[in-house]
Amino acid sequence: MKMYKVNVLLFLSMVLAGCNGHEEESALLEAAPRVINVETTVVKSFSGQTELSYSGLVEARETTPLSFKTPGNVTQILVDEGEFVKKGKLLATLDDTNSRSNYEIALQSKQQAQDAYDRMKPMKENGTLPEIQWVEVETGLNQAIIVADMAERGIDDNKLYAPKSGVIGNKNILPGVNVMPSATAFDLLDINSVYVNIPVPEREVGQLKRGQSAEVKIAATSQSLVGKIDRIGVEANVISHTYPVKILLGNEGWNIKPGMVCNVVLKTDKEYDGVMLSSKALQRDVNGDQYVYLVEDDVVKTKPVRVTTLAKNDAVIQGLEEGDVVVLSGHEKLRNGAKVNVVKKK
Amino acid sequence: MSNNKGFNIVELAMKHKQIAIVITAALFAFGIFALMVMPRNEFPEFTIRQGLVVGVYPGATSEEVEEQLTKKVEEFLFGFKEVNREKTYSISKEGTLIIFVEVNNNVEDPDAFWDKIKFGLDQLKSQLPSQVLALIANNDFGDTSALLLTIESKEKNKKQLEKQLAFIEAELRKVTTVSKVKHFGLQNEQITINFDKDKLALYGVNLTSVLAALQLEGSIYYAGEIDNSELIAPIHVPTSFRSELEIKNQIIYADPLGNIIRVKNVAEVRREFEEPSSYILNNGSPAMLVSLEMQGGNNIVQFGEDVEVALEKIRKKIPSDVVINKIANMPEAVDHSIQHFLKEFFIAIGAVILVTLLFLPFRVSAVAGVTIPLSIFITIGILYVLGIELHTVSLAGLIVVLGMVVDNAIVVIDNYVEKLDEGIDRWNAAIQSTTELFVPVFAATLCIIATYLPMPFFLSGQTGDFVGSLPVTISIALIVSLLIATLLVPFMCYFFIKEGVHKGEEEANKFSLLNLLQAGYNKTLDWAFKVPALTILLGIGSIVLGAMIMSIVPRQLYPKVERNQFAIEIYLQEGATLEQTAFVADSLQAMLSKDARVENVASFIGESSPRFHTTYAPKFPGKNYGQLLVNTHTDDQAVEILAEYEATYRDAFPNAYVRMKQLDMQSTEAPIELRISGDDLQSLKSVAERVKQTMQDNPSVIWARTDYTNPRQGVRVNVNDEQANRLGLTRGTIAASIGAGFSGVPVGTVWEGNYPVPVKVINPAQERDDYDDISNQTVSSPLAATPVSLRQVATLENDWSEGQIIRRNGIRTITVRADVERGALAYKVLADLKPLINDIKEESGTELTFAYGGEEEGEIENYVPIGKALGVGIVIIFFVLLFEFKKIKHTLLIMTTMPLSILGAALGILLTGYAFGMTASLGVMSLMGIVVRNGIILVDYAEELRHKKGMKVIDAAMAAGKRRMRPIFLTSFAAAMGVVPMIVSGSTLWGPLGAVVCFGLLVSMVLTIYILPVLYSQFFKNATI
Repeated sequence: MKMYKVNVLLFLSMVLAGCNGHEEESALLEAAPRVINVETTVVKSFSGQTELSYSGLVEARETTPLSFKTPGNVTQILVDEGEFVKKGKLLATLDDTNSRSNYEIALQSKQQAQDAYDRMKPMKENGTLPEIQWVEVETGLNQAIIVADMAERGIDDNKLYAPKSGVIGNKNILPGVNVMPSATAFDLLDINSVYVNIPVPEREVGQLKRGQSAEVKIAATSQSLVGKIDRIGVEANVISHTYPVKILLGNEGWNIKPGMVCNVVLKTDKEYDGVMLSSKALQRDVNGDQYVYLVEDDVVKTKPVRVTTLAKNDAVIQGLEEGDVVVLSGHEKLRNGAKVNVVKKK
Repeated sequence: MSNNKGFNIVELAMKHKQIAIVITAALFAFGIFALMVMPRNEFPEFTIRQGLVVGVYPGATSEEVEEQLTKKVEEFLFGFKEVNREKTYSISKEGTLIIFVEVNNNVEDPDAFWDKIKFGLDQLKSQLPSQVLALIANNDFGDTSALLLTIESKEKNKKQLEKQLAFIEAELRKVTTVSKVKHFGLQNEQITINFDKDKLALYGVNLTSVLAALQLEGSIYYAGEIDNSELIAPIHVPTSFRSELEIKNQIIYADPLGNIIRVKNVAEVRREFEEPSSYILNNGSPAMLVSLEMQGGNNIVQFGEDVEVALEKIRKKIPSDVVINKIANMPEAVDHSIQHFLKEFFIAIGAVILVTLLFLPFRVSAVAGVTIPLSIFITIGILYVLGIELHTVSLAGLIVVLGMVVDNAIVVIDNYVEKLDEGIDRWNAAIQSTTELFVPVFAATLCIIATYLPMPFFLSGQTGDFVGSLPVTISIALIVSLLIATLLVPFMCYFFIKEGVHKGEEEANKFSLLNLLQAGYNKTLDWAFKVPALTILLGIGSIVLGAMIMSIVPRQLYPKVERNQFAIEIYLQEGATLEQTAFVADSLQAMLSKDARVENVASFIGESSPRFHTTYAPKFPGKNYGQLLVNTHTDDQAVEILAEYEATYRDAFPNAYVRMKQLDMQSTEAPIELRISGDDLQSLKSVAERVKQTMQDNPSVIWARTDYTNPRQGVRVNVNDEQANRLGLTRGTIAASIGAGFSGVPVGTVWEGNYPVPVKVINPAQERDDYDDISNQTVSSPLAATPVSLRQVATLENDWSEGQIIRRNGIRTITVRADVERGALAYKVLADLKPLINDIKEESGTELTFAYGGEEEGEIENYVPIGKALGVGIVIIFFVLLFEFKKIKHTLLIMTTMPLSILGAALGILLTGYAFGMTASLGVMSLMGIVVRNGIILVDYAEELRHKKGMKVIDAAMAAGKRRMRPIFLTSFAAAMGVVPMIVSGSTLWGPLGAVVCFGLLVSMVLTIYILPVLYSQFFKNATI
C-alpha cells in the first residue's frame, strides 16, 4: 500500500519534471513565404549638374591709382584708408610755396608786359611804332598772361581731388614726404560691385562660361550672394596650374571688402547622366557586379546598375529610372523574388 | 574468500573502536566546517584557451590586410606547436586584423606561451609594412567578470562622473579578493581645431606645416641639463599648451615683415566631448561600466558579500545622484544555484535514508542511514583539502554516489543480520560479515571507480574542465564509504543490532513491504525459470528497444543556462552608422523597459559587454553591432520574454537582425555551422551563398548568414599621378590630408592636472559629411607650393572590398551559420539540410572542403572521448571482475548487466522529456559501474551456494536470485531515490543525469534479477561442478 503511494507520487513528480524540464518541440511551421521588412527609397532625377566649390578672394572691381601731377612735399592728407569719397573731394595737398612764387614771378612778368603794352599802345595808334615791334610787345603780353595762368594752375596741381566716387584703398603717402608725379598716392577702389577671384583647375575651367551664376558665401559677413562669372583668365598660374576666374558681385551697402575670403560654389553641367540614389542602396554580388533591389508589388527583384560618379550623399546611377522604388536597407535578408513589407519610405 | 589483511583490520578496528570513532568524528566535524568555508562556484572553472592577436593597419582594405599582414602573422603563429591550428582563425577586415588563437588543450601553462608570442610579435613587426601601427597579443580575452556595475547620474556629465568612477574604483580595489578592475564607457573631452580651409588656402599657409608646428608645440622635449659647478639642474621647456587660449594664440605663420597668423585667425578652437565609437546606456541613460574580477580560488559568494559591503560604504560617500547598479552578478547566480543544489543534495540524503527506513527494520536502517552523512561529510572535507571547489558538478557527483555509499553499508549489515539469523554471535557475525564481503564490495567499488577513472585521460578542453572533478569526487566518496563500511559499520552493527530480523519472520513482519515484494518476486522468478529462452529473449529485446529509443530521443550536448538574464545581439550590415545601431537598440530597450518582468536593460552600442559568462565571448567592437543585457526578476521570466520577443522582433527592423541569446554552456556561435574552405574566393563565396539560401529555406532556420558578411562599400580616390606630382603631391600626402580632414590628427595634449585633454585637428562636421567634401578637401604637402582641392588631382568612384576575410588553419574559410527556432533541435534540422548541402558540395567540385562545426562538432569532440573513456572503463571492469572470479565466463555473465541498463536509461530520457546531453552520458557511465555491482552480488552468491553448499546450478541460480533480490532492490532503489530531487528540480543540466540514473537503475534492477539468474543457469547448464 505504502509503496503504491510512493510510486504514484514518484510518477507524478516525474511527469511534472518532464513538463517544466523541457519545452515541447514546436510543430513545423506552415511553410508560408516569409515577408521581410524593408526600408525603401525613391530614385530621384539627376539634373546633371554637379557642384564645384572654390576658395575665393574678394577684389575691387576697378582700382584707380591716384597721383599728384607735380612733384612736391606733402603737407596735408584729408582722407583715410577705407573712407568713402565723392567725386571732386580734396584728398591731399602738396606744399605750394614754390608754385605760388612762380605765380608771383609770372604775375610780375605779366605786369611788366602789360606796362610795356600800355606804353607802346599810343605809339602804335599814332603810328610811331614800327609794326614789327608792336607785334613783339603784343606777343610778350599774351605770353605773360598765359604764363601767369599756368602758374596759377600750378598752385592747384598741389591739390589731389577724387576723380570719381569710391573708397580709398591703400594710402601710400604721409605728410612731409616728397612725391614724384609717377608715384601712387592713393588707390581709389570702385566697390559698388566687386570681383571674387577663384583659382580654377585646368580640368574645370573648360566647363565654365561667362555669365554663369555662382553662389558666394562670405564667412566674414555671413552673407550668401549670387554673382556671375565675368572674366575667365587665359593664362594659368604657373605654380598651382589654375586659371583665375572672376565673378562679379554686387555690393550695395559696401559690406564686402576687398581681401575677404569667401567660398564659391559653381554649378556645372557635366557629362554625367543617370539618376540619383543613396549609395546605401547599392549591393555587390559575388561576381563583383553592382545591383539594387527594385520593389514592385511588394516583391523584390535584382536589377544590375552602373555607378558613374558620386555626388553629395548619393551615387549617380545608370540602369534605373526616376520614380523606381528601391530597397534602402534590409538587403541582408533579401533575395530575388522575396516578398517584402515596406515599413519606411524615404 | 577470506582476506587475512582485511580480517585483521576489521577486527582491529572493532577492538580499538574508540580510535575509529574519534577519527570519524573529527573528520566529520572537519567536513561540516569545510562545507561552510569551501570556495563555491556554479561550475568548475573553465580555462578559456583562446587569446587574441590584433593588428592595426589603417587604410588597408580587407584583401590588403590579408595579404600583407595576416599571412605573415599566421605563418609565425603556426610555427608554435602549442597553437591548435584547426581552431585558430583570423579575421582580416578594413584596417584591422584579429586572430583568435586557440592554445592546445595539453598546454599546461598558456601564460608562458603567450609571453613567447608577445616577444615574437615585436620582432615580427619590423618585417611588416611600416604602416602597420600595432601588433599586439591579448590573452586576457578569457577573463570573466564576476560583477558588472553601471554607474550613472542624472546631473553629472561624463567628465564629472569619471571623477566619481575613479573614487569608486579605488575603493573597490581595497577589497582583497578583487583582482582586475576595469572600466568601460568613458567619454573623453577633447579640444578640436577646425581650420577654415578657405582662409588657409588664401593665406597660403600649408596645413601640413601647421600641423607639424602644432605637434612640436604640444609635446614635451628633452632640453638637457646645466652643470654650473654648484648644482646640476635639469632644463625644462614646458609645453606651451596649457589651455584652449594658448592654442588659439599659437602663431602658425610669421614673416620678416612682422605679419603673423595665429591659430584663432584661421581656425575655430572648441572644447567638446569626442565623438564616441561606442557607448553604454543603462535603462536608456548614459552610464559607465565597471567590471570586477575575482582572484581565483576564493569563495565567490563571499566575494559578492565583500563587494556589497564596500559598495555600501561607497554609496555613503558619493553624491546621491550617482547611482550604482549591478547588471551581471555572478556571486548571486552562484549562490542561487549552489543553494538550490545543496538543498537538493540534502533532500537526496533524506530520500535515501527514507528508503532504507521504509524497507528495513529501524535499527538496520538507522545504522545504514548514519553512514551516509558520515561518508559524505568526510568526503567533502577531503575535497576541501584537495582544493576542489564546491560546485554543481562535484555536488552532482556526490548525489550520484549517495546510493552506492549506502549500499556498502547495507550489504554489510544485511550479511550481519543474516549471520545473526544463522546463530553466529554478534562479535563474530560482525567480523565475518565484513570480511566475507570485503572482496565483492571492494570489487564493486572498483568497478564504479573504473568507469570514471579513464575520463581525465580522454577528456580535455572545456568538457575536461567540466567533468574533471567528477572522478575524484566519486572515487573519494566510494573509498570513504568502503572504509566506513568495513571499519566502522561492523562495530555499529555489533552495538546497535542485537538480533536478526528473520527470526519468526512470517508472523512478526506480515506487513513488511519487502516481504510483499519478495513474495511477488519469488513467484515470478519461478515463471521466468520455466521459460528461460523467452526470458533471455526479453532481455535481448530490452536492449534492442533501449537502443531504438536512444536513437530517437532528442539530443543536446549542453542545455541553455537558467538565469534571470539574457542578451540581445543586434547586427547591422557592414558600414552601418552608430546612430542606426543606436536606433534599433534604443527601440528595443524602450520596449523591454515597459515590460513589468524586466528589471534592468543595459545597452552596449558599438561594442559588447565584457565577458560575464564563461562561454559567452564578447564580440569585437564595431559600429554596426550592439548588445543589450536584460535582467528579469526570475529565471522563468527570462525564458518567457525570449520566447515572446524573439519571433516578433528578430526581423522587425529592416536594417538589423535582432538575435535573442539565452546564455549557453556551449561556446559555439551558432548551433549549425558549415565551414567551407578553399583558396578561390569567388567560388567560395558563391557556394557559401547557395548553402546559406538552402539553410534559410528550411522552415526551422530563423537566421542563416555567412561570416564574410556583406561587401563593404567605400570610396576610391583615383589620383591622377601626373597632375599630382607636378603639384608636388604624392598619394601618401593626399591620403594624409584626407585623413587629417575626415578622421583628424592628434597634435598634442593639454594636461589639466591628471586629466588629459587631447588636441585634434579635423574638418568641421559639415565639411566631412558628404562625398563632395572629399572632392573639395584641400590637399597639401611640405613639397607642394600651394594647397589645391583634391578634385584638381583626383576623381571619386565607389568601390567595394570584402567585408571581412576569415582564414581558419591558414586557409580562406567561409562559415555559414544558422540559428534554429526555439525548441527546434539543431541536429535534426542539420539532418534535413545535409543531403541538400551534399548536392551543392558535389557540384562545387573538389577544390573546396566542407566541415561541420557548431553543435555537431561539439558532440563529436565530446562524445568520442567519452565513448573512449567508457570503453577503457569497461575493459578495466572486465579485468577487475576477472581478478575476482578468475573465470571469463563469470566475468562476461556479470557484464551482461551493463547492456541491460540501456533500456532504463533510454526510458528515463523519453519519459521525463529531457534531452540527452553531456550529463546524461555521464549518467550512463555511472550506470554501467553501478549495475555491475548487482551482477557481482548475485553471481558471487550463486557461486558460493554452488561450490560451498553443493547446490545444483539451477537451484543455486534461483536461490541466489531470491536471496539477493532484497539487497539489490534496496541499493538500487536507494540510489534511484537519491537522484529524484535532480529530476524534480527541472534543471535541464542535471535533470537528464538524474533521469538516466534513476530509471536506468530501476529498470536494469528488474531486468537483472530475472534475467541474470536465468542466464546463469543456462550458462553453467553443463558445468560439472
